[in-house]
Amino acid sequence: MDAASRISARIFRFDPASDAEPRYEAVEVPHQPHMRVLDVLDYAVEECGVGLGYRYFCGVKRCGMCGVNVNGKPVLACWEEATPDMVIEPLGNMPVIRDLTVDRSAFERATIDLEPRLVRKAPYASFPEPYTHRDVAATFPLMNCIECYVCSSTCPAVSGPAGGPRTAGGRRDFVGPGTLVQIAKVALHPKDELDRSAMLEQASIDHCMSCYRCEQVCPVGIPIVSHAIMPLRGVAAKGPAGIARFPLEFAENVRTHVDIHSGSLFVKAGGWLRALASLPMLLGMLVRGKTRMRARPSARARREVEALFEAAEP
Amino acid sequence: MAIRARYGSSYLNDPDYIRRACRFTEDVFFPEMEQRGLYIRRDDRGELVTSHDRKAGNVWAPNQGFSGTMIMELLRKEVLARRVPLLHETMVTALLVRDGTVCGVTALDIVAGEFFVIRAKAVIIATGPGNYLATRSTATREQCGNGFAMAYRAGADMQDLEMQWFHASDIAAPKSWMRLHLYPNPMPVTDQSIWLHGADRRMFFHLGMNPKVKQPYYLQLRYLYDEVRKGNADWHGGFYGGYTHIEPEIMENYSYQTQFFKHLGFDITKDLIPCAITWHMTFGGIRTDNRTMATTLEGLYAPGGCGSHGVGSITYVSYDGTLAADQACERARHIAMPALPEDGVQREQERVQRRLQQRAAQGLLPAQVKKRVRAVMTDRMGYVKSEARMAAALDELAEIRDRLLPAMGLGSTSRNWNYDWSEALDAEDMLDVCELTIRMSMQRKESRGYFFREDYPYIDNRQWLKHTVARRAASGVEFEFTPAAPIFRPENEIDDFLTAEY
Repeated sequence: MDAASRISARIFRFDPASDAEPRYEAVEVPHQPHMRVLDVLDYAVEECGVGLGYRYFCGVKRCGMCGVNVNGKPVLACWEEATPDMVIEPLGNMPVIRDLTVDRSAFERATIDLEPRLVRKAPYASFPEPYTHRDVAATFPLMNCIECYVCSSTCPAVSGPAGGPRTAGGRRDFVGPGTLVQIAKVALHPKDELDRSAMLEQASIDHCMSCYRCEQVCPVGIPIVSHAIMPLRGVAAKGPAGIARFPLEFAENVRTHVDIHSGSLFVKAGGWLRALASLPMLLGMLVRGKTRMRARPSARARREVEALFEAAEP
Repeated sequence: MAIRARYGSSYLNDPDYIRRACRFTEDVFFPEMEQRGLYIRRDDRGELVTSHDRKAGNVWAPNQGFSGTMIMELLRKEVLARRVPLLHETMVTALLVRDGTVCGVTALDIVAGEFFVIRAKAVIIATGPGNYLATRSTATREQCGNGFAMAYRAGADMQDLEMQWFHASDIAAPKSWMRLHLYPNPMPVTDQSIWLHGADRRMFFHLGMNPKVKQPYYLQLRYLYDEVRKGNADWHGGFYGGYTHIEPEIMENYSYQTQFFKHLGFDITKDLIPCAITWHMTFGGIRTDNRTMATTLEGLYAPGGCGSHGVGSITYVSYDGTLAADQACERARHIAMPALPEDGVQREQERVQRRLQQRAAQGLLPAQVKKRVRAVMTDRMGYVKSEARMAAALDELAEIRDRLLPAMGLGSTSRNWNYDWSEALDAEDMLDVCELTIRMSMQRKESRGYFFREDYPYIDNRQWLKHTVARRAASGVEFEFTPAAPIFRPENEIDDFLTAEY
């Protein structure tokens, strides 16, 4: 864009206390060099006199508070470049407080409930502790997380705008990728010694569908699925109820059989008793050709599947 | 330690305080933080990463430019996980004082728009050193001098507010990134640091140009002043920071800022980054006893940057915080809950409520009034000051107070996240603090550190090795001057400000 061009933005306005429906306010803003979405919002207030409700504090991708949707994509307003035509709306999966400001508290509570602190059992010796950069290589990318919850706002496994993860019968709704990055930071730290398997199992980590949408929108480029969720799944799979085991067993099943082998998947994920109870269904699947007694993959198919798994491994 | 005491504060700091804070940093701060899980950057052999000239004294967690965020977040989680009650996104509007003793605060919850009172046996004010009082500032959106304003209005002594630190090398654009600092001190694993270039693209400053001088921030500003006078730079931009002499791997591996340059399309191996000057922190603040962090108001403590001892390190802030917390706890154990002032709560509630009014047709939003205040401070109270410019600033602020403030109103009277409302309170605080800062600056008839008066362009160690103290009085502001603790005395009684070797 050149300096003479203008930016047209339609900004979401809604006050639950007084408005029946949201509306959109149009502003025209002269383009400035390197302009961000946040600069457009500031201009709307300071120059156009729009009394807009929007949240930010730092402007330089540290506070993580300026998440919005721009043309349907969740972004940080301070990081995203302003484009000629923008529709700016609040993040999803969170209730609107007013205009672009959303209530993030359900995700923040979920993070705190999952013990986001390093827990040592062995006494701390002295500074600096003897470990190397290589020892923290797996968690190093996670340290850039600024808890903006942009990832959680777009996660299809998180429950809808009624208010983020809830707890029912001891089990939470899926807590979302943002919370899991925060937990992974400490759970995968070389000095952490707390067994988090039960709490992760209860946090419904098995609901993650590995769709990678969280990684696509992360403003700091964290490999969320491979470096946080997958390793935590491994932790959760050791949980007492065994409910988080299915995704891991499913992946292992595909890797071994180059197909879905339902019989062994039922046995490994649910145990013999559950598998026996499911026998009629299994037989029905066999009859209808939905599964096979023995997979016969070609060598090429085996190579291709193996390559996919190797590429996905952190 | 000596470098901080002599040069970091232009000989106004108390070296005994700095010695204690340095010891705390090494003996308590780093071990405690690491124990809690803070990753302080190491190399593949396990050695702490440092810059070459400072040995182990300079470390990062985990990259240059991000450490503070990591530390604050770690501590915030600790507090939340311990279920300590926290009021988020809540603005304290006033200190409540009865018979000279602080007995609580009033506050406004910005999310829900509720006004409430918190009673207290002790109050710790920790609003930080940075204040967004000029058009370009490193302070965050909410930092508008509120802590200073509240303390001053409540009757606390203020000290050295004129000692305002400026950054010469913060990114020029986009505007929202003005807080992105291009550090002038050496980078990790090298003794190299940023170079400054003029409009002609020639390098005019690097750290090695004057080996005797220890403080790169002072130096950058002095050299920039020369370039501005030559027409080769402008205070609002027109000069550049360059990393073209530094190995790109160092930038990639250790600098938080590098991702920003790349995001804008700069190739730091050959491109220069447009820079501009920015207000940073205030060395002065609420006058404190640096052994207890007690202020001159009973029951009020001011640790960290909003105190008066002129340091900007998160490790020092942590030291201050532990002192203040110990004192406040001790006080709380031994006194009964003080009574609230009879009419103080109601008066403050009425003041806050008055601001929840819809803007008139010709009125400005609070954010627009704040922008005017910042423009005055930028134009008149920048790095280069003089009596005439400061007097003009006072006149212009008086006009804003008299003409714009009464007509100021909000875009909506909603109580839900009505940031206009808190900004209306900010506007009042900013005017009070800016006027006080100017008046204190007019008192100091010399130049020192970041404080540069073109009409007094020399460091006067005979007359001005002392603190400026201000307090509210019936007749306006009352000033007093108290000697600094000069353990490290400067060599010369009078020094030329622009060439002095510190």
